[in-house]
Amino acid sequence: MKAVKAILLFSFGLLLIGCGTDTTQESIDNNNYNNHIEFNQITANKKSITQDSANQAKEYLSVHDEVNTIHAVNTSKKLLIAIEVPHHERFGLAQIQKDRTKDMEDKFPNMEVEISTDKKIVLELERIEEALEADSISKEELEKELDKVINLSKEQT
Amino acid sequence: MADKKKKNLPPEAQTYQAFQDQREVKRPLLKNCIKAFFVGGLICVIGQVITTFYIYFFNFTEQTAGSPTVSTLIFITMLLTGFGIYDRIGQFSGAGSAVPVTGFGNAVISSAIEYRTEGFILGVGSNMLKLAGPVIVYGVFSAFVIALLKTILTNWGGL
Repeated sequence: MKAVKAILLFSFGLLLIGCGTDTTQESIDNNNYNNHIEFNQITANKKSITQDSANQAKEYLSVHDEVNTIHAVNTSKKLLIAIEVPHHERFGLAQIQKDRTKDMEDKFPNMEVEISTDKKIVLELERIEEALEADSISKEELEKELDKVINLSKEQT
Repeated sequence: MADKKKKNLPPEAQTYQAFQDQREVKRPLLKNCIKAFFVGGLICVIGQVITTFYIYFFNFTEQTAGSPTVSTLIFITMLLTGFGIYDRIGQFSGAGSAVPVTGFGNAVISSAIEYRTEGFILGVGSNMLKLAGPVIVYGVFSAFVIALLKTILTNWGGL
């Protein structure tokens, strides 16, 4: 019985240690972490809206360590950004979303900015980005699609 | 048996208790914990796979995919309980199969099957939540207490 208690206590201790952040490793990683951030600059095309704001937003966000992948699409008034965070950072997901939203609202005061950390929104924006790259989406279609994705990101149930 | 009660027992009973304690088969606590951990984890992995499936192939976000996932898991549990497979899983893994939502589903469904012979209203209807009732009562009560604490801490505790 004592042995079982000791093992359980030891495992719990290991669990706590495992959950702690390794600051030394983190500081080493920070120097080259930003190289791992995935994002594509979307080239402007004839049929649709230029994606300058989205491209700028990607560059601004790529300096942050708590971002793995960035996808962003904009219309003339709206900017939707989807970010993927490393798994161990997911505990502070709400705070990350809040901080980055505030950053982007300051950077783009004339636009309605939405930031999502949801996997579904990441997938949807990836699809829209591909359509923009292939020049297979018109201005009206883009606005419609983006509104649909923004509504989807706000759904609670 | 509680120690207080043991002291009040007659000497013969106390002797018997000591004899029983010696002969009693010890529960393999660590083995049970490991089994529960892996089976419970496996159920959660299956749940995560279902969630991912709903996110990729349907119009569900991470936020909204929870409800269909739970429904699907309970539907699978219903079939497994009906065919008598979930009982065996429960026998093997104990808390590992009782703690996830599938355990709750199993408690409701097995009660419904058991009381089917007494009719739908007074049998199934009355007894379906016999086992699951306490879970709902204490679940709701715990949620209320936690929500109250959170409200107090966030509104007046400066968190």
